[in-house]
Parts: sequence; structure tokens; C-alpha cells
Amino acid sequence: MLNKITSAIGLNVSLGRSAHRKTAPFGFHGGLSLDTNKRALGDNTELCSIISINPPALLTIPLINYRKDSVAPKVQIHEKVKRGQALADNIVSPVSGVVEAIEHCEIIHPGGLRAPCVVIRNDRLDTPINTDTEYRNNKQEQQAVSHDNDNAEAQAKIAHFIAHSTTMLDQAALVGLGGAGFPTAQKLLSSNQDLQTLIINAAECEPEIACDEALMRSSSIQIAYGISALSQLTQCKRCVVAIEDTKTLAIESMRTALDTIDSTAELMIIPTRYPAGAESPLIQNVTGQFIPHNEKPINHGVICINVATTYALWQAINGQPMDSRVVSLGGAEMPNPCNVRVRFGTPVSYVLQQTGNAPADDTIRIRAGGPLSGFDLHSTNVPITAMTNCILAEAALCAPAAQPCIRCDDCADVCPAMLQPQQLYWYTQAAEHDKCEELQLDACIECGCCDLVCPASIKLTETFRFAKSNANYIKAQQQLADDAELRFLDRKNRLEQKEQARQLAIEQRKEKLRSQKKPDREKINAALNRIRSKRHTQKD
Amino acid sequence: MANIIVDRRAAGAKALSTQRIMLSVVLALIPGIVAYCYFISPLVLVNALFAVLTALLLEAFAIRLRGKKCMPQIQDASIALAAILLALAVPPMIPLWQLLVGVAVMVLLGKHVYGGLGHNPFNPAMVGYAAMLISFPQSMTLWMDPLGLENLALVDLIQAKLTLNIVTSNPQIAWDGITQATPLEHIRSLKAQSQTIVLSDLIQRTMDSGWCWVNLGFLLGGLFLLFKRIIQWHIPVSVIAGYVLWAGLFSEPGLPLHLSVFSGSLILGAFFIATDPVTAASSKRGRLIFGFGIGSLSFVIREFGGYPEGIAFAVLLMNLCVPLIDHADRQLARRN
Amino acid sequence: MSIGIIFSLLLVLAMLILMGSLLSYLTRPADNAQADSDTLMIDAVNAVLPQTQCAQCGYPGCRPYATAIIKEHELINRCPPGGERTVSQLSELLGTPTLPIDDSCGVEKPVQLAIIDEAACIGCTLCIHACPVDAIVGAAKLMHTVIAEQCTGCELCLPPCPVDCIDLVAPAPTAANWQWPQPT
Repeated sequence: MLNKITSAIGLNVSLGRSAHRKTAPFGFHGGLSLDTNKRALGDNTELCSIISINPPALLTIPLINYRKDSVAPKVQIHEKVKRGQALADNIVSPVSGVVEAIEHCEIIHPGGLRAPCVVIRNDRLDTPINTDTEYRNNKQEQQAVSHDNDNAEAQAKIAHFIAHSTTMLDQAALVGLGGAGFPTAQKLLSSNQDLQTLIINAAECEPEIACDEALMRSSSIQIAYGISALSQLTQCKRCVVAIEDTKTLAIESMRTALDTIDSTAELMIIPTRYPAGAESPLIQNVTGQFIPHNEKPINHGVICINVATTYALWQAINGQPMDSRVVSLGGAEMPNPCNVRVRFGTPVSYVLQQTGNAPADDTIRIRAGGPLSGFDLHSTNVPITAMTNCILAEAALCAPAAQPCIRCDDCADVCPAMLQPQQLYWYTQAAEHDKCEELQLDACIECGCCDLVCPASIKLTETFRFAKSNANYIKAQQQLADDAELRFLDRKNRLEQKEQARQLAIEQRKEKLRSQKKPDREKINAALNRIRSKRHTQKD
Repeated sequence: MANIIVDRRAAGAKALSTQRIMLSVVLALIPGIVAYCYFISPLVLVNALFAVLTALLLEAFAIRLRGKKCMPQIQDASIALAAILLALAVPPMIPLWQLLVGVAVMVLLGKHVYGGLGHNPFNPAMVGYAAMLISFPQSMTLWMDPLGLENLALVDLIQAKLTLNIVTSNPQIAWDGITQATPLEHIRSLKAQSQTIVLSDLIQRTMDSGWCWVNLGFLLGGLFLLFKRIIQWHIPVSVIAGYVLWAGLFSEPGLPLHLSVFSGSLILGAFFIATDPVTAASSKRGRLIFGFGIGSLSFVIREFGGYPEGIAFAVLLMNLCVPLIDHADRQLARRN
Repeated sequence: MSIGIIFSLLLVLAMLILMGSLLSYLTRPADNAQADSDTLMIDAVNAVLPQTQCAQCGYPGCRPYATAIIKEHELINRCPPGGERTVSQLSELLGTPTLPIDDSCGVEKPVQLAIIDEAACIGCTLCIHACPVDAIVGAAKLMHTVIAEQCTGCELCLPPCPVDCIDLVAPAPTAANWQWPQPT
């Protein structure tokens, strides 16, 4: 009833600074207009190429899936592997060579953790696994661009892909290149429901990160074919490519490409506002739907695919599984900012060195991911993965000391998940997990907006990351405890049954003995008598 | 230890610090203070300076007592802002020792007993004001008639400020010159004597007394804060709307609304006192309710209460309701 | 004047009624209020206990201890693996004051994990029988090993081992169970 009253007097609408619009792009709650600061694009002219570097001698591929669980390797030590050969589920070898070790190595992780990895010694031959498909190295790829322009051949390839989508997706080892690394095949194959909107996420909203923008400028035609293949595969009613309005050159390039291949996909220019590229704000922008954090977009008829993933899909259709990505090198202390295509498993230090960006001294922080979503690396000798969209070099940071919260509520204004960060902060400090759950701490997308506007410099995002992982840890511990209790009860029952069985067996044996006593005695007596009588007869 | 937090500088953060916010509010008070000095009494500067200095000293003392480092906390300038607001709320002729009592109550009982900035449930400046109003009712209604000032030399004024009780110790100051001078007090006294209110006389008196100009100065400062997005519109608008609604419905016929809005401290309260984020409701919807409550209560106190001005008690009463408002708002948000 | 008094009284009364009813509406008890029976309380206490089944409390497992807390008013500070956190949760649940951990039961330690030195193991199966949560696998005269995810670190396998080949180690964080550090 209270709801009705408040909605009747018009208080129900969001009173935030960015009012939602009536037509697409619909906008989303909160967010911030940040300087895009895309150093990796250089002076923002059309001449913006993606640098290629040779893969290093040793590559380290973490055996970890998107849920951070370790996966079992499918290769053995000293086994020869080809480029594109599966090392584990949805993980392929980025080079051909020999498996040198399967061991724990340091990975890109905020805690500097080690994880099981496959170490491959590169034989520099790049022998492909797909023998039936002509493999193309970088030079041949350049020729392929003009080749791909042949629309009919491309459409034939797409038709072939649609016909063999399950096996081809399985071989392609596609994962989302947006940063979360969700397996694309899983997303696509679960989409055989009624799909209303396929959103190609080309927003790339975080400052410094420019890998998708560079890719759209240089390879828009391949992306357009990838989008075409995706929309045919998913049979979506509508396919929308969402790009931020400041990426003018990428918009131009994508528009030309989509027109060239007569794509039905529509280009939606969305306002530049962080975090427009996060899944939930993006869906709100494009379709106007708000999807609760605990529900999957697919159940609402929407899926989002990163634009770089569509490029990788087109490569996969052409026979090359996903084994590399574009990484933006940026940050104030990066001498030579650029976008570089890197094979997975290449160490960060090698990438920096090859591009002339080796850090000048120890004070420079090397950060994986953007300034808001990323974290500093403990060591640069860690391998690039599909999730590494950006490497930043920044000067040493002295974070201002946090002051008391003055409840200004600016954090709630900018929160794209429509949470109450200041209240959540209060409850996380008091470790009141129930209250945090009630206020939907889980819905926090850790975008960092609240941190940026906090006048008291409170480390809100850091606190929420801790609280979320802590809550998950406690839940996992509780699960383990519950399992332990079940096993304990099982064991107790088992021991009791054993004991009962033992007691029963003893009883039975006693019973048997008791019942056997009489006949035995008779038999013995009979036997004795026989012996005695025998003796008597002998004496006689 | 590597940095895992949001890199504010690399992200290009432009957030105002708490200190900048507080100093901006002080800046926004300047037009009002200038008008106050010109039309009412320059003594307000003496009061403000005195209040700020003693408040800072007392806060340093309180923080040391709590065993914390005082510099980072004093630097946020929040207590200086509260002290200026207190100095603006009290009559300019208030004896300094009484102001000192108010400042002490403000800093110690209004702020630091709860744990300092961010933890106080009540607006500290209004706590100090309420304590003074209850303790020194006579001097707290001692409003200076600007015309009476002409008879006083500066030396006399300073002497008056430093003595214990201005009324008894300075016979040169005419009684009728210093009391009952604000328009609101004037209306109250007229009503008490069952006299008819002559509108033109009243307007004349308001313009003469300069309160209108002072409030216009505060309004200008408030609009500056809105423009700089240091405050949001919800509280000021709802305070004034709450007041205007009831005043339009129930106040004496013939008393124009703009006069009653611009003659008291409603503008100052709406833009500068009620907007203190620490003690206001936190959500937008909650702030509308909070502001509306302040506006309504201040009308009730002005119209029917024992005091000519009700903003202070209205703010304190609504501060009491903030936890309830916040809780209700959260529940509503959850059910939507 | 009289209309003023009446108006003020009515307004204050109206506000009091409004806020009072709002508050009582918002804080009304949940529909599924828990019945306060012993079994439910034992379940609740048991859910708080860490399920290490280490018997340091003097009872053969966590549920027996939970039963003793409810039925025999046993003290709530006899669970060193749960530590202060469990004691505070229990005190909140039962409405009793918190107590420091009883030294006679043991001391609070960080979570540990048993590791069998597989080279030294003689395959006697004694530890397998001692493990309260079936976390050790192996067979007679064959090497034994601890299933790391299932080990509760109860230390009950240590005393029976004839060759002292079981060690307790702190579990290394994995990418799956790693926690972000708490901001300071």
C-alpha cells in the first residue's frame, strides 16, 4: 500500500542525477562521466594499429576456469602440442611446442597467488591443430582481409559454422574478452530459448582501456562477419551494437563495415558514462530492462557478447581457436602506450619489454585491468590471460587517509546497481552479514564509482570486495561444515551398524554353541564309550 | 603490499573532499554575512570569529581527550562551519561568555560525546543554540535595532560584549532600542497586545530592519551551493514548501507569505542548517520527508509556540526522526 | 490561542500516530516465527558449531555438544576450533554472556589441514579409523592420503599414527577460496 502512495505522488521514480530516458538509449541509474584518457590510442587519429609481437620461448597457461576453479589438464609432461590443441576444457595451446611442466606458477591475481599451470616451450613453428584448414600467420592474415571481403564465401563459411556450431564452438575455446572470461559457448548454447536482443558490447567504458576500440577501427569487417554469424546462430529478433558516443572513428568504421555486408544489426550510440559497458547498465541502456543481480539476462531474452569476442568467433570460423587478445598498454608512466595483440600465456614483463615499455624503476606500479576495476601486480612475471584487457603503469600512490562518513549519499547517487553504499559500508564494518545480504551486497558490480565520489576518501569498493569474498568464504565454510557433519553421521551410523552386526554375530555364535552343547556331549560320551569299550575288548 | 584499490588519480576522480565541502559552505555564507554586517550589526563578525576560535580549540581538546590525533580531524573544518552558523543564529549583542557556553555545548555535547564527525545524531550548531535559548532566554531575544546602534561608540560596543550582562551594565543603550526588533518578534508582540497588524508598516519595518536583504544574501549563497552541487534541492525546497503550505493555509489573513519566509531564519535553516548531511535523512525520498517535517514544525512553533523562531527546534525534532525515516525508506525501497 | 493549542496538539498527535503505526508495521514479527522447541534450538546451535567433530569439548562430536548445551546447560566456551566467533554467535543465539575459550579444551588455532607423509606411511589404517569425517582414504598395507577439501583439521588422526607421519599445515589459499584483504 505504501508503494502505491509513494508512486502516486511521484516519488517512486529515480531522483538520481541521470534521469532515465523514454527512448533508446534508455540510460541507467548512477554512473560517472570520467575522462576517457585512452592513451593506448595515441593522438586519436585514424592511424592506430595493433602491434603484434612474437610469442616468447616459454608460455604459461593457467589451468583455471572463469569460476576460479582449477581444471584437469588433458596433456602430459613432455607431450608435443600443436597450436590450438586443447590443454584442458576450453583452454587451448597458443603455440606449438612441448609441454615442459605442469606446476604451480604465479598468475595475474590481486593476492599474487600461484595456481596450476601448463608451461609450454615454444618451437616457433606454430603448427596448427586444424590440418584441414590452411593456417594463416600474421602475414597471411593481412591477405585474408581482402579475401574476406568476398561476401559469398564468408556467408558460406557462416552457414558451415551454423551447421556444425556445437563442435566448432567446442574447438574454438571462446571466452568473453570483456574481463569476466565467461565461456562463450556456454552462453550461446544456453540461448536456444526465445532470444529477443543480442547486444554486442562495444561500450568499453573504463578509462585507459582501448583494446576494443582499436580492434573496431582496424578489423571492423571481421567483427561485422562475426556479428552476422552470432545473430544467425542465436536467431535473435534484434541485434544491437552498443558503442559510446566518444568513439567516433570506431563508430564510423563499424557503420561502414555493417553496411558493406548488409548486416541487419543496428548500431546504437550510447552516452559516454562509466560503467556503461558493464552488463546490467548496458542492458538497461539498450532495452530499458533492469535485470536483478541474481537472474541471468538470458532468462529475460537478452545476451551480451563483447565485440572482441565476435572477432575471435570469426577467427574461429576461419579455423583458428581463440589463443590471443588485444591488450591496451596505458597509464601515466607508460613510455610507449599502445595496443598489442598478445598470445595467452605471455608474461607481462615480456610484453612490456617487447613494446619498449620496460618499467624504468621499482617505484612504478604495474597494474592489470583499468584504474577502477584492476589491481596492482605483485610481479610482472605473470601470464596474460583472456581476462587481461589492460596493463597500466602508474607512479607510486599515496592513498588519502579515510575520514568519517558524513552520510552525504553521493555514493548512492552514482551506484549503477542502485545500492546504498554508505549503509552497506556501515554493516560491513560491523560484520553484519545478514544486513548486507538484505541490502543486496551481492548486486555490487565493484565498479568503483562510489569510491571516486566519496568526499571522505573511504575505500568503499575495497571494503565491498572484501565483504563479498568473505561472505562467500563463510558460506563455503558452512557448506564444508555441513558436508563434514553428514559424513560424520554416516560414519556414526556405519559404525553402529557394524557394532550391531558384530553383536548379532556374537549372539548367534553363542546361541549356536548353546544349542550344540547337548548333542556334542552325547557324541563325546558316545565316542568315549566307544573307546572304553574298545580298550576293554583289547584287554580282554 | 600492492595496491588493490580503485586508483582514484588514474581514474581522474574529481570528488570534493569533506574539507572542500565545508569550506564551500562557509564561502556561500559570505553574501549573507556581508548583508548581516551592513544591515543588522557588524558585531556578528566578532561573534563568528570568537565562536570559530573557541570551537577549534575545544574540538582539539575533545579529540585529544578521546586519544586521537587532532590535526586530520580539525582540518575538515566542519566545526568551524557549525560555529559560524551558531554565531549567525544568536543575537549580535549576546555576551561572549554566553556564546562560549553555546560553543562548548555544541562541540562537546553536540558532536564529540557521540564520537565526532559523522556520528552525531543532532545538528551540533542547533544543539548549542537550543542550549543557549533555554539557558539565557533574555539575551537570546535581545535583537538590536539598527537605529539604536548610532548612539553607540565602538568602544562601548566592545565593552558591552565583554561584560557579563549587557542590559544592566550599559544604561546608555535604550531599552526600546534593542529589544523586539526582528519583524517576527514585532508581529508576535503586536499579536500579544491584540493590535491590528498594519501591512504597510510591517513591510516598511522589514525593509528597514534589513532582514530581507540578509535572507536574500543567504538565498544567493544557497543557490551557489545548489549550482556547485554541494547540496541537493530536496531539503531546501521541501523545508520552504512545508512552511509555505501550512502558512498559506493557517496563518493570519493579511500577512503575506513572502514576508514571513524572508523575515526569519527560514532561508538560513533551509539551505545551510537542515542540509547538514550527517544529521539529515540519507535518501532523496527521506530528505523530502525530513525537510517537509522541518518546514511544518517551524511553522507550528512560530505560529503557536512560545518562541518567535522555530527552525532550531524543528531541525532537532526532525533529527530525532531521521533513523525512523531512513529505516522506513529502506523498507520501502526493498519492497519496490 | 485556543485554536492554536488544538491545532498543535492535533498535528503532534497525528505525527505520533503516523510514525508509531509506521514503526510497528515495519518491525512486525515475521510470519514464520520459530517455535522455541528444543530440537530446533539444538539444530540452531549445531549449525553454529564448526563441525570439526574433534571432540575437544568432551562430547563425541558437534551435535552431542549442541544437545548438551541445550539440555544440560553446558557452557558455550568449550569449542576451540570455532573460537571467539562461535562463542559470540552462540551467546547471541542463546542470550547468554560471552566467555573466553576454556583452556582445558584446547586453544584457538587457525584452520589446519592434515597431510600424510606418503613415503613414511606404512599403511596401518589406524588413522582411517580415527578420522571422524571419513577424510582419509587408503587400504591396509597401502599408502593413505587425506582428502584436503574434506579434512576438518581435528587432529584426531595424530595420536594413533605409529610412525608419526601426519603433519598439520596451514592450507594454501586457492584462487577459488581466496579472500580480498580487509581494508585498514
